[in-house]
Amino acid sequence: MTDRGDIREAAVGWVTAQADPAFADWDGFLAWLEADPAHASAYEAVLAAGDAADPVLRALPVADPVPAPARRPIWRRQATGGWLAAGIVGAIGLGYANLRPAPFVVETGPGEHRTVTLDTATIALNGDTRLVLDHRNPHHATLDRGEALFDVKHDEAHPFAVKVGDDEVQDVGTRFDITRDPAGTRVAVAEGMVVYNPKAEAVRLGPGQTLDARQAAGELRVATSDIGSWREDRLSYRQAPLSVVAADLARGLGLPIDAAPDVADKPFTGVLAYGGDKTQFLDRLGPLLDVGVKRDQGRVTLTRKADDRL
Amino acid sequence: MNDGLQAILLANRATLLRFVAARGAGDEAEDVLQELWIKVSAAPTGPIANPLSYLFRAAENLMRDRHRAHRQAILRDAAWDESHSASLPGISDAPAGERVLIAREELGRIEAALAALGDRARDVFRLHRIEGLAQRDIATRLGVSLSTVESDMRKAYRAVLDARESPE
Repeated sequence: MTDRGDIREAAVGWVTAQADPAFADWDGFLAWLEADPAHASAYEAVLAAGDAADPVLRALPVADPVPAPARRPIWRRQATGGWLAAGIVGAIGLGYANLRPAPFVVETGPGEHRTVTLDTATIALNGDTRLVLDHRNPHHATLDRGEALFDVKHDEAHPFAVKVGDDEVQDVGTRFDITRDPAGTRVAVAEGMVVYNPKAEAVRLGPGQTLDARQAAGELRVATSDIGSWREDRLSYRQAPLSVVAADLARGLGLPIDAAPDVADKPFTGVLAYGGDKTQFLDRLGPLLDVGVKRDQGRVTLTRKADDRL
Repeated sequence: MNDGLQAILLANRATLLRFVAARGAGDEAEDVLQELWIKVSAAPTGPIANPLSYLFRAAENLMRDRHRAHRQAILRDAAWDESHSASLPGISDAPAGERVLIAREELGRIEAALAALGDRARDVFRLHRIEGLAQRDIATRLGVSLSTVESDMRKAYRAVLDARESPE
């Protein structure tokens, strides 16, 4: 075996060992990493391989979270060689024709970003977001929670639809951002056109338009280039209530941030860049938003400024 | 707030800094430690069996997120180029298109490699990667030994590495 093979084997060993929550040989791991710079890249290659395999593994049909008739995973059938010729194995991929739903969940933790690439769309997930996709229906997504930026390849015959609570957003060829939190739903269009609730109100939104059903605020306009800017850890607002700003920051920073009722409706216009040091950012946040920032047990609350209460 | 963890972080700051540097943090090693400090401050209180191991694990997770974000940024740029190159005259879309094509081909190779792995190893790998189960729980779930689970996991990682390295 070559040196490179040995290194790779050791890297695979470390990644596997760390899958055990009781793994504790961090000294050994550190010594191995420091022994040769090639070790760190070999280790990272194993992690990257795991990430690259995830979409394929997620597509494997397994026990369904929704009630469905009992069925065996398709790959099992191939493997047992029962009724599929080996020759077509290569042709059956993520797009095999089967109309039964195969839902799968893509979820991010607070502060984590993630991008999902489908044949029909590229979807960037902001932090604390839960999205349900269906491998058998690549034209549909359900946003349960959080925020996602959709880049949709327009297909006249199969419009891409996103279900958000009881509402539906349907693309007409598009780049758009949807936010869902307990307060409601916000849809912002960067390019193309979307139809909000096509079967009900059928509100059409064009580039630069935002529909905010979160605060019954009606329609706001934001600059096109700002939409989806959370991916660069930057948020920009025009007359947005602080409750909305707080929810966006909580998702982006991965910290529990709330706006107290006395400032929740206070409007904010401006840009927040939170990519750097979080502690410093929080220190600057009060003057920026013109509010008090109370920190308690890791929770951050935006309140009226101390001197306003006097 | 978790004073105990913060104290242990301070006491082992130098080692943790070496660790994130060795994991590829480069110039940003200090930033990563700062992030770790914030994570630890926000962590729920409660008994932690091995606090130093907990801190290493948290630092490792931060580094994994960073590397992953970096990889995704590269993919995202490719996707962005692909969907926008038509409206940008003078900028060729060939390289981006090529990158997307390579990504698709690679996905196909990974799919084939996992299909060739056999049912059990593939199940093990899925339970590890997607459901995030520990080896012990996978062994219980599938009714096999711990060493079988570990050897299946290694086999699966090797197979995917091979699939990503080989050009065809």
